Amino acid sequence: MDSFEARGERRGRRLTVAGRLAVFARSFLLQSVWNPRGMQNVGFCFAILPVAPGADDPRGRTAFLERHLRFFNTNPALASYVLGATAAAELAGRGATEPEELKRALAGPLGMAGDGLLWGSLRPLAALAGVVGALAFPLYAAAAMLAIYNVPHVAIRWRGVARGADLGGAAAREVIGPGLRASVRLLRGAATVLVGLTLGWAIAGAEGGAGWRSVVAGVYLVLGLAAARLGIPPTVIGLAGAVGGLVLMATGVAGG
Amino acid sequence: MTEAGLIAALALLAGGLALDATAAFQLMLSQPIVSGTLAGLVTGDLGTGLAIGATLQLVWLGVLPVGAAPFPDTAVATVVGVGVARTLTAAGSGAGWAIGIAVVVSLLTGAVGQWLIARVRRLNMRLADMAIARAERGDSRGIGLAVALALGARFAAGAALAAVVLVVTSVVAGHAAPVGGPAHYPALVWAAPLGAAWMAARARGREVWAFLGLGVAGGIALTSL
Repeated sequence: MDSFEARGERRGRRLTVAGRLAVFARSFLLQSVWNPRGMQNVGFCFAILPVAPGADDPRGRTAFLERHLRFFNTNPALASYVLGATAAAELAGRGATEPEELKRALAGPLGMAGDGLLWGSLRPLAALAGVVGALAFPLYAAAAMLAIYNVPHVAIRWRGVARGADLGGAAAREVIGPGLRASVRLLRGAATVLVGLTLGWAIAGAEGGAGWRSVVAGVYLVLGLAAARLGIPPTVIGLAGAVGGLVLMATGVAGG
Repeated sequence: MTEAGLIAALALLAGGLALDATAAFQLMLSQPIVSGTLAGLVTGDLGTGLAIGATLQLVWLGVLPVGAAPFPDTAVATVVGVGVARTLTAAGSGAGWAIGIAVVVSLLTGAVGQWLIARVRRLNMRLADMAIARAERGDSRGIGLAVALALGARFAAGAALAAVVLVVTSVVAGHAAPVGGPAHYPALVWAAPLGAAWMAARARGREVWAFLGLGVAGGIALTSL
C-alpha cells in the first residue's frame, strides 16, 4: 500500500493518475497529527508515502522518510500544490534537493493566501449563506453552506496536486498571484452583505419591537468591534451576549 | 430512542464532527450551522438545531483554526447545545429558556474543548516522535499508526466531552430546569452584531460599511414582506 515503486513504478517516471488520486485523498489527513513542534510533518509524509522508494531501496526509503518528516506548515488546502510538486520531484529522482526548496519557498506564501482566501473569505461567506438560509430555507441551509465552500475547496485541492505534479512549484503562482486580492475582496464584500442582511433581519424582528432591538444590536456591534480590537476571544464576548439575551428574556424586554 | 441512547448517539456525532475542524477533511462539517443541523436531525428537532447552530455560527465567525492559534471546539459545543436544549425541553422548560441556557452551555463547552484540543496536540507530539524514531530505522508503519492514533484521540476527546456535559446536564435538569417561560430566546439580536463586528474589524477599506448598510436595508425589507 505504501509504495507505487513496489508495484512497478520506477524513479524517473511521472506521477500517474492513480498516484495523484492517492496523494489527493491523503491530503485530507495532512493535519491529522498536527503538533506544536513539527506541525504538519507527519501528515505531509503520510500524504506522499505512495511515492516512497520501495523495500528494494532501504537507504532511499529511509532518506525519503527522514526528509519528509521535517517541520512543515501551510494552509491545508493549498498544501496540495507542494504535495503534487514534491511527489513528482521524488518520482523524477530529484527528491534529495527540490522538495526542501519547494517547502521553504512556498509554505509561507501559500499559508497566507489560503488563510486569506479560504479561511478568511470563502468560509465566512459560506457560513453566512448557511445562516441566511436557516432564516429562509431551513432544510437547505447546511447543504448550501457545504456546497458553497466545498465545490471550490475540493477543486483547489485536486488542481493543486495535478498542476503541482505537471509544473512543479511554479504552479502555485496561480493562487499567490495578484488575482487573489480581488477574489478576497469580492468574497468578503458578499459575506459582509449577508451578515448585514442577518443584522437587518434581527433589528426589524418578525414579531416587531424594532426600537429596543436597534439599541441592543448597536450596543453589541460596538462591543464586538472593541473586542476585536482588544483581542478578546469570540467565546468570551459571545458569553456576554448569551447571558445578556437571557437577561432580556427574564426581564420581559424580549421573548413572549 | 432512550435518554442513554440519545446521549450516546450525540456523543458519537460530536466526536466524528470534531475530526473535521483540523484533523481530517476540513469540509466545514464542524461549522455550527452544519453540526447544529445534523444534531437537530438526531434529536428530531431541526428548528432548535438550526437556531443554536446559526447563533454559534455568528459568534464564532471569526474563529480561524490556523497554525498554533487556539480555537474552541465548535462542533462538540454545537452538538452539546442541541442536546441540552432537548433535555431542558423534555424537563418542561419553554423554548426560550431551553435555547438560551443551551447556548451558554455550548460556549462554555467550546472553551473546555479548546483546552482539550491543546492536550491532544501535545499527545500528537509524542506520536510524531514515535513515527520519526521508527522512520530512522526505515520503518514507515509508524506514520500510518500515528495518523490512526491521533484521529482516534481527537475523536475520543470530542465524544467524551460531549458525553460528560450531556450526562451532567441531564442529571441537573431533572432537579433544576426552569419550567415554562417565554417561547422565544432573543439570539440574533446580539449574535448578528457580533458577526458583523468581526467582518467590519477584518476589513481594510471603508466600503465595508456600505456593504453592511446594504445588507441591513435588505434584511429589514425582507422582514416586511
